[in-house]
Amino acid sequence: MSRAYSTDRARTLLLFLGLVAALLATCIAALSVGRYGLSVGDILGFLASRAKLAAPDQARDDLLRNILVDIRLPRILAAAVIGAALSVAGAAYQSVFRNPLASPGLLGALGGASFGAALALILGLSWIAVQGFAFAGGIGAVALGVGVAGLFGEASTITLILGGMISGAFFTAALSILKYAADPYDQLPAIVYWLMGSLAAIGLTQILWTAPLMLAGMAALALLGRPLDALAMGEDEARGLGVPVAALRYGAIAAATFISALSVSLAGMIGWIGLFAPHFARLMVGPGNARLLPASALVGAIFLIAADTLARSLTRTEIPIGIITELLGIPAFILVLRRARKGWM
Amino acid sequence: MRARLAATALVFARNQKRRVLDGATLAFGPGEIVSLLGANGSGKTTLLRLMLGFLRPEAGTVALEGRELRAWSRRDIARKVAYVAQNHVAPFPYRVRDVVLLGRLPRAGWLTPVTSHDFASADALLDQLGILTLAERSYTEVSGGERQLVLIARALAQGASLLVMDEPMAGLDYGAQIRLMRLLQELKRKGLGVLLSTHHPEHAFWASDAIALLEQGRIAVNGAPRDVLDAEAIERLYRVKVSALAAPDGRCAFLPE
Repeated sequence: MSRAYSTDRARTLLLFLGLVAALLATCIAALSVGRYGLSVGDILGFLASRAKLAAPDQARDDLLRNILVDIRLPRILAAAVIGAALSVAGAAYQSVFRNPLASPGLLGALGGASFGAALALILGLSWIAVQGFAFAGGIGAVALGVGVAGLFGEASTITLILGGMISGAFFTAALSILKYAADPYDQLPAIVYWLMGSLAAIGLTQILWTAPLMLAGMAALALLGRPLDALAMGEDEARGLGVPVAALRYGAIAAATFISALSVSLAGMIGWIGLFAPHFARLMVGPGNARLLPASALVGAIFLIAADTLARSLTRTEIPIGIITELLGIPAFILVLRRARKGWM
Repeated sequence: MRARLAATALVFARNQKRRVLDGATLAFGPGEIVSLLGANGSGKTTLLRLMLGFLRPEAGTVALEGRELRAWSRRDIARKVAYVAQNHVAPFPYRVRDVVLLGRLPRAGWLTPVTSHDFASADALLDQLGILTLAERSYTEVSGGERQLVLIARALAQGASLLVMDEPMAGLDYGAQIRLMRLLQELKRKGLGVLLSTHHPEHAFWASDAIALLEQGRIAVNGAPRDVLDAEAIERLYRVKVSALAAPDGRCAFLPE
């Protein structure tokens, strides 16, 4: 047994156990915070009574069920899955593009989704349609970016980034046109609010439908962890190690785009988390993607649950979550970068 | 012809305009060091990338063990031929051992977890190259010479018998250059074949079994160092006047005039 191996295994196991414990603690804290304050004891008592470990108190159980299961739990689940998805997508993008500053918006996914959502809002469509349009817009923008990259000839990291920039700029301009054309008393505020992000409108059935899809996308990326490491070392490096570069690159982009477009379609624009969570996770478990992607998922989930809890409890009216993630994300990112510069040990 | 990598009459043009390579023929196999010399922009890197299967030639063939390269899967090539890039930089701080462990990718597959045995073999390779103390260091923080050694350790972890190196001496200090050539000679004695491009005629002279000169898209001369490399060849290749100094043991050094 190699000693270095045992140390490495023990360290990683400990870090992941710590992250899971932090996630559970954040969930319980988030469940207890709200307009109707609950203690951790209330929550544990409810769980015990549901598990038939304690004597049931019907009236109190119904009240708690309504608050915890119907109101708070869907939001917490949504925050966990969306935070995880955006972070995993960001980490995967950073490896694919060999760029620590890559984030899920790099290829235009967020710009396209914003345009799609704004279009649906102006057309006065239902909330489901807004989400559908946002998802289609996100996927469409990345497809356009990849297509434009193809015009430059041989597809490479640089041509893809250029294609994404062009596609993103196009959809941002198109979004401006929609905002300009929108009814300033009714539609424009709706667009602006959507752009600031919110988890308030997500119901339990909706998150139960989309969560498996997002988890599948994240799992697919995590399984590609090792070849993604080779790709992060460089295109020729990956080829030299027997990795089919084009297939891996487009596969990873497709999976990362899919989960980030789904996230944005559910919750609107939530910035920074896809950039900062992977860096935070990298400081803990190192840059190897087989560990980095699951760790990013946990960090992102914890961060977004905490941010959403602040968003709904800081003031009497809810603060858009995109504002919170930006305000918290910027100082966190500065701290992380200061340490990341010195290497991760 | 066992385990030989052979390029025959390769033609390659970038952007359909100037032909970078125009009928280049070159081969190497286990137990030999072949140095590729040529001026900047003469197509050395292109030739190496074609021979690795990273690029497709417009005409001509590359064959590994007598079978055309395009009939091989990328992964099978990687089990036979390893590649060491020029001045490689990584964007993320992988540990040195993790870089070496990437070498198991072509053999172990993508999903097989890293075992204690893998760790031990990676550390044994690092030890063999005298850099075991770097195992836990960040690959982004070690020196250029050390980085070349890490990449060689990774190549050995691939289990490849052939090594293609693009200007491995670039950016190394004088001592590191000499030590690297010595290491390559030692690996050669253990059966490894090395094809490397270089800008140092002297190194090529004393360390290679064969030297190939790339001029105008072709291998103009290919043979034993003392048959290939003289003042006239250097002059033709780099357009500078030099005089050759013969050492008593038959090696040769070149001094600019």
